[in-house]
Amino acid sequence: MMATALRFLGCVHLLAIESLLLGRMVWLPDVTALLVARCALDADTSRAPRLLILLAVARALLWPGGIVFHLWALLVVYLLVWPLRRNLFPERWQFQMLAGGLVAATLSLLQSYVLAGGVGDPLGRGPLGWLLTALVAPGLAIVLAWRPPRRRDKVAATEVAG
Amino acid sequence: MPRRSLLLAAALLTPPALLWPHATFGPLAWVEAAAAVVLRPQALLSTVHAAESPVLALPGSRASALGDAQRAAVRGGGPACLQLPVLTTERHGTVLVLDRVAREADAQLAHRAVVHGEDLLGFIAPTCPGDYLRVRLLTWRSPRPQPAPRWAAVARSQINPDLPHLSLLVAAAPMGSPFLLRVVRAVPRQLDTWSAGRWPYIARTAASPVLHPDLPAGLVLGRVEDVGYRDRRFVLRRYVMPRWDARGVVRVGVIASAPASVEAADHRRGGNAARVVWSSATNESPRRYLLRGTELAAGAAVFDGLHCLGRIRWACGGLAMATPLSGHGPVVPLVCFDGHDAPTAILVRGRGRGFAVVWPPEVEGEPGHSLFTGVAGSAFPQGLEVGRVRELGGGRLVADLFGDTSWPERVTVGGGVVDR
Repeated sequence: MMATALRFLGCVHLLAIESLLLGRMVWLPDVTALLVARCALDADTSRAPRLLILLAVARALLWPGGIVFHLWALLVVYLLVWPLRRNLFPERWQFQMLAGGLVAATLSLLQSYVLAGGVGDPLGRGPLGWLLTALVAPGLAIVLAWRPPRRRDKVAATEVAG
Repeated sequence: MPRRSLLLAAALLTPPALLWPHATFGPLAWVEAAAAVVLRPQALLSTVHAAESPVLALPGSRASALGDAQRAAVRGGGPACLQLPVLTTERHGTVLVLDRVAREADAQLAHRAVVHGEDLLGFIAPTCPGDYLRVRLLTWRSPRPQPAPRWAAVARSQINPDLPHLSLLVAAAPMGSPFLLRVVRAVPRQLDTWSAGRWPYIARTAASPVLHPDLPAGLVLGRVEDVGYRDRRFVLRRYVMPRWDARGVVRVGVIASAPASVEAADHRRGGNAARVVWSSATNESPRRYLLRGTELAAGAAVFDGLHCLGRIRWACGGLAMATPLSGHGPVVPLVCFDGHDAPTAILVRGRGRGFAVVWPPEVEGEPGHSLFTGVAGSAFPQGLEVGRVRELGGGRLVADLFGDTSWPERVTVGGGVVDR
């Protein structure tokens, strides 16, 4: 519960900073797309729905569109990237890039056609932003995948070494 | 969670997401409000300041935007014409609700004619003392046992008044009619009113001591519209289309004998102050504003001085999200006014960048005409300036809106009919 609340706090503020910077830099990478791509490529699928709901709530507050639309759009792109995890090798940076770019482009297209009636991206993000999302995706995936080693593992490793 | 469940969830969410992508459904407003608190926790502390009385609460200031412009147009009764602002419409736009007047004047005003310029709008309905004045428009249909009101009229060609005229008996048209008033009887029955050099025929009231002894002659009922076979010059039915639209009239004149006691009551509708605690990226179109204040309600207007900035999308727990009028949402009634001719009422729906004209489909306007809010229910104030027309035609309205610029830190919310 506490972890979810903290994650929600992080999501809202991360997207708020992105929203703030988008007013000045149209080439900003899509943070949501990066998180969804990472989520879809992750082996542990149990965390995905929770993250999608939190992202949808945060995006509904900060971006045009209601919660229902954002949840639907995130689910669609999540399911779109799913085959990359099942059939390919998600640990390779090429697939991380592909997933990141695919999610960013699909999200942008959905928003453009449903929210803005097909007249460009309602957030004003340019194609360079999508490209940058694809480039940043592998690096962010590595950062998100890293977790500090647990103490018990350290002890076990010492015992093995000893 | 298995993939099948996610697929099912996506399938179930598809219809509402595609049909109402901008809608925030009832309980979800609480979720968005919670997210807003996470984003700006200090907004909760600004309630004390947001609950101050609004900046705009100067007597009579807000009512002067379109009202002043229309004041000159409301002159039908001459010096004996009492001018009153319109608050809202009722019964599908067939009844206008006016501001209250002094109690002793209620009985004196019943059944008096209500005009806008030369146009006859309707008649004051009998009301209880202290209640709002209500105007039954010409389009109002009386309940079944009562006889439908009829008016004697004379129609003449606007192009050439010397052409033969039509004597008419006019009543409210039934539901489903193509025009708002129908001609019950016309003499002569077959008269060409649609040829070039004749059209349009304008129907004006005629003196009738039996039907309406107190109604002055010469007030405009509307334009005569014929349905029939043009090539054979055969008229099946005649209608009259009034020149006004109830949603575009914000001030009317009551033809009365101007008793000294008849004065509009001091009835302020100032609204509540609210504070802007967050705004979306500057390149987002339209921008969104998070407001903190008291008595915020979805659909209420947000205005600053005499300028209408936008309307509230959702409101919950003292927090509200507002967008400019061009934002996606319900239909907005506007009034296009050039300062000289009769104001044109239009219904538009925000499309993010500009508006789609819902009604009337063939409306056209010149760049530079002023746009005002029309009569849109009790929560929405009328007569506030919205912006200027840049392009109006082809079912599309592009306008320079005051709400598209950055909003001030403190705004006023509400301003409709509020009893205090």
